[in-house]
Amino acid sequence: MKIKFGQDRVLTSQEIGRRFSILRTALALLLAMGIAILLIFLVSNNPFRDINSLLLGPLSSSNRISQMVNKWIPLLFTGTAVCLFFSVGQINLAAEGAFFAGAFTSTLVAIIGGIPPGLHFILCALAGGVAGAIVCGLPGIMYTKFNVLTVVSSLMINYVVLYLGLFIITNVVRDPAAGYEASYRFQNTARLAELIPGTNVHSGLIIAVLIVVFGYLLLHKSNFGLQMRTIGANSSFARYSGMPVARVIVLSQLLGGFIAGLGGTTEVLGLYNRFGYTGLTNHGWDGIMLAVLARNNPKYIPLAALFLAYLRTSADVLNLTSNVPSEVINIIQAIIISFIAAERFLAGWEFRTIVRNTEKAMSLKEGVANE
Amino acid sequence: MSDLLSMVFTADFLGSVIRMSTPILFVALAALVGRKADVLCIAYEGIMLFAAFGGVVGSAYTGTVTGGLLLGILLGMFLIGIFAYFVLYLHTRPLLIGLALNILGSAGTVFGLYILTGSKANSTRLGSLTFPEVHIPLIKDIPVLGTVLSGHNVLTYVAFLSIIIVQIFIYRTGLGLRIRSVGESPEAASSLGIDVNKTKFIALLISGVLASMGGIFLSMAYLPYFTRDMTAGRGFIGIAAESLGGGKPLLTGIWILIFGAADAVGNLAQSFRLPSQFAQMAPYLTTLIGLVLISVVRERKKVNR
Amino acid sequence: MEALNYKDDTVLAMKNITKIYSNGFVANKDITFSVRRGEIHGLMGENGAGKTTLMKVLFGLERPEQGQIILEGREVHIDNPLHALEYGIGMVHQHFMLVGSLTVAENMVLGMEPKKGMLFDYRRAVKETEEIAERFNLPIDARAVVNDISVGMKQRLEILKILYRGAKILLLDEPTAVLTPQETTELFKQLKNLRDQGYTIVFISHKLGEVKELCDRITVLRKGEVVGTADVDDLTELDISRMMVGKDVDLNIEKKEANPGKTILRVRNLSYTNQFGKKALKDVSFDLRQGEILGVAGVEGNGQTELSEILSGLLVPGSGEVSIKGKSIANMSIRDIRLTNTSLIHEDRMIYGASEEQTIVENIISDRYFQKGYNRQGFLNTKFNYRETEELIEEYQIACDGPDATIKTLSGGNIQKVVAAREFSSEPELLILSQPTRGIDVGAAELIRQKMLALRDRLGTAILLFSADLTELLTMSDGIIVFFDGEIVAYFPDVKEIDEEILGKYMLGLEKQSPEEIGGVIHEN
Repeated sequence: MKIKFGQDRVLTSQEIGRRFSILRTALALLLAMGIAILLIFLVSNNPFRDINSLLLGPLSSSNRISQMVNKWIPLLFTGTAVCLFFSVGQINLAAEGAFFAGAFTSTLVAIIGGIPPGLHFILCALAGGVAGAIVCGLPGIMYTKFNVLTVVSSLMINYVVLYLGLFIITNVVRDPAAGYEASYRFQNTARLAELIPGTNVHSGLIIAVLIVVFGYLLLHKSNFGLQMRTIGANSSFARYSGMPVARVIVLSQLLGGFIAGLGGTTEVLGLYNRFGYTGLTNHGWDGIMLAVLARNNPKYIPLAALFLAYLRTSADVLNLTSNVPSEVINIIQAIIISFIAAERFLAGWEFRTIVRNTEKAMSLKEGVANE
Repeated sequence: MSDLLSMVFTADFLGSVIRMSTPILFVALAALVGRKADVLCIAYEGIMLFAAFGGVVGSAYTGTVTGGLLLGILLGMFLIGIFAYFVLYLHTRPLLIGLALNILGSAGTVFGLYILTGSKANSTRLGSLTFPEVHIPLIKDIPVLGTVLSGHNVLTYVAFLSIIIVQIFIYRTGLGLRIRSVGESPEAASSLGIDVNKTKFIALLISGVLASMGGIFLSMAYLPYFTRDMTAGRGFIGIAAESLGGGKPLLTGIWILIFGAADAVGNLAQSFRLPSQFAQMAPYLTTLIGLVLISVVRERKKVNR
Repeated sequence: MEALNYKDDTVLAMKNITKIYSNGFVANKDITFSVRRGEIHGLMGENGAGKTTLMKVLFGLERPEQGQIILEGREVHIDNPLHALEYGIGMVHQHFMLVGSLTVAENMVLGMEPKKGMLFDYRRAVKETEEIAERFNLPIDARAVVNDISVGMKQRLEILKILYRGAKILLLDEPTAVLTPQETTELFKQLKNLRDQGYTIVFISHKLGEVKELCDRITVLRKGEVVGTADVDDLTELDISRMMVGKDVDLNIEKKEANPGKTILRVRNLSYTNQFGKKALKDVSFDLRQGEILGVAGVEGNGQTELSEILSGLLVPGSGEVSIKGKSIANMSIRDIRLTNTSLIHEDRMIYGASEEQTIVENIISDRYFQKGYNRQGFLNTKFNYRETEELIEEYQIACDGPDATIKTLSGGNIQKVVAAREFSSEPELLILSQPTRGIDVGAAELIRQKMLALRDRLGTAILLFSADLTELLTMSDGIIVFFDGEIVAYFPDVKEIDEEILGKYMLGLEKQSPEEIGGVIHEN
């Protein structure tokens, strides 16, 4: 019941719902920030400097900004991947493992010499992508064929992949000449070039942006995306309407996994000259938070990822300049996720607003009828 | 390699399996209570960390083991209380609030650790206490069995005792009855005046106490101090063990011991300088394979009716 | 029709009760209804007449917009079921409120468990259960697990539960819907017993024969209003059904004669055993022809759901053949079946028929997004989809905020209109629908029925109509088959020759046609 009555417009309950969504997000962010500032005051020996670092640190130098952009890039990959998983209704947590798998699989290709420059990266990317696809695809298959809960299987596979990768790196391709546990050096032909000369920002950025665009077009403009979203919304309905549910689920997990694996590839080949990870990198878990923030829509991932990258850079600044542990950033993350995910947060307010609007609409209707 | 194998079949190893199973057992029991109330909590990692940290801080500052126990349980209950409130009253998806609380558990304890000790690595500076080991008279002198059954930390015995306690609680008390009914059929329960949310909340708190014991074990028995992220995924393994056990106590117990063994082998392998990664991988790989096997068996049972 | 007098023995009165649901549907309109102490009072009316709502108000599950409840002469406010029980009003719901894995005794005492120290005193729970069962002569095995006992026993347990909690007034909502004829007889015996002990019973039903047999007085509701109250002895079943249905028997539908053509759907020797080992379908055979509406009647749970799900591809049959337009559907996916130009409407609207969180457009194109026009090279043709949805919204008079509105914001009737719009607009040659007008407002129901007839007349669509609404079946169908216990027990090629009563007899398994008569529904070999 939407009635235009000059300035006095009445909102649909959907519009109200959308506005409250934004309000919830904003409040969650403010609340988290507030608590962070409180903690800083409690712990820091120079609170104002630290709050400044928290809020403005990433902008303090061009170096910091490029750091932030480099942190932003992998999040675009995992955020998009998890958007795909969640949109089809699968709680697939294996973006973490897929990212890691992409990283070490592409390492194996990257250390091979004698491959021409452009081709070399493409091969690495393919290797990493396929590895990621397998990692995320397996839980998908286990769900459609064996009815195994994706939450549990994807969680487990992260650790399997982690230890498998560590084994390979430390026992098969470990470079004894390096000062720490790492692989052989990547060939220069495999590494990603600097995008903007002078900064450290690597050209993985271009790939990342393309992936986000691809994710959005796929999910919201294509046939396949419609099937995905329908299955996520009501898989019985999708099935009854004739959609090939199992096939779409598996394909979307493979696709998301490929993207996450590609993310791992661009991360190592863009930032490092060896594979030196000793544990999971957390990008997958971050991707989950981003998908929640972005309401599973890739369109909002860049903004959400920028926010997180910003926070992470603040953490780095704090680490270097302050006595406040950078864990305060993770605490912020946890609070944000909690309040954004809490659907009934502000529910009372939202409901009363809807009621007021409905009453207004009904009285306006009567007013019009009485003219 | 053969050295490793020969070490596995010793009483010492079996004893260490039981020891390593302790935290997993606590979490599995916690997950069991949660399952009966039909709430899936994946935040046990965070809860165990909070409890482990609480145990260390409590015992250091009160000078008593009990102080540690109490603070540990309190912190664990606090965290699962947040989980329960968000899920039951704010309609939050358990996955998301669980994820957030695991992050909070890890970051919060490191944060607290740093504030109290200035170190982000471990709490040795605090001088916390540990729970004593129990050497059972008579049993400890039996040749092989003695090493396996006696000499464990008191918390290990508490863990195995808890199996019985939880069993009695769920199946022989009024509260247990109500928890089972709100988990299985909330409409039926509420039609008889039972407050479904309140009952689930209580069930979760109890679950939290059990998981906290697992965390306390880690920092006050397994190790005599707290280190960051010391749970190392055991919160998830406990959930996996319970889920693989499918509500059947014996099967759950077997899975717990399997995982405990994998943990123990991992330790052993490290001392032999063997690639530890495969042992570390073992619990997770076992769970994956186990999940597939169980569902295949279930399908076969259905068809053969 | 007797005027309502407030005699001294009126134990319960509901005055001027009006209940409007949040979607605007008026379920109860100014209803005044009273019950005498120690009587069995039937509350009658068709599906959707307002009986269940009225009882929910009484039991505290719904709050009325207007009206009062007077108990033993004093006005009371009943906020929740526990409140109602405190006042001595207990309800036995159509869908049992039992915890399956617990025993009878445990379900009995749930919420008021006897204790022995810290532990639950199971022995005493068993004893109290046995005592109360004996007191009311409703024997039951206190130690049996609820999942293992029969439906009749489960119902008995529900009755005992409320008696145990002190109910003096019992509300039973369609209790015989799930019982076998023998269990029904048993139930009636027990209810009369209770009445003789001074208990008051309100018996909600739409079954004429049963009400006539069991009740002392009845009140009839129609379209949310009271039509009248009378002593059962003063009325014949015909009188009662006239009150229930009124003059709307033909539901404002003008139906032309059917002109059946060739067989479109062919079912032979279809059998199906469900996962619990029960034979849900036993050797079912029938034909459905072009331009014909074949109604399927039967008490829920006699195989109809399994049949409709096998035909739509959700279930795989145990044995038998099904073919659409000559092609066997044995290995067909649901997509394949739909591509034979078949449309499907499942009885569970919100599970299979519509996607609550998605928009109307998305619900409309869910079966056709891959076809030419709706997409271009794998990309959705938004403008086209939007336009088609707008046209359908107008054609089906769907009250909404536009094609982008989510299904959640629509009322039940409008949601069903979206489902019908999608399924009918694909111009199907075969249409299989279950309970198409269940729980929706009269206007939407009428529109959907009109559209259905238009399909039959204009396109020659073969329509298989599963419905629990006997009036709908009798009005809409050309022929009717009746299901009982997994078999077809009757075929009526001409509905004009039968009525609800006759249908009822076959539906309850009291009668069965000869194989020749049933075989009449097979039109070709």
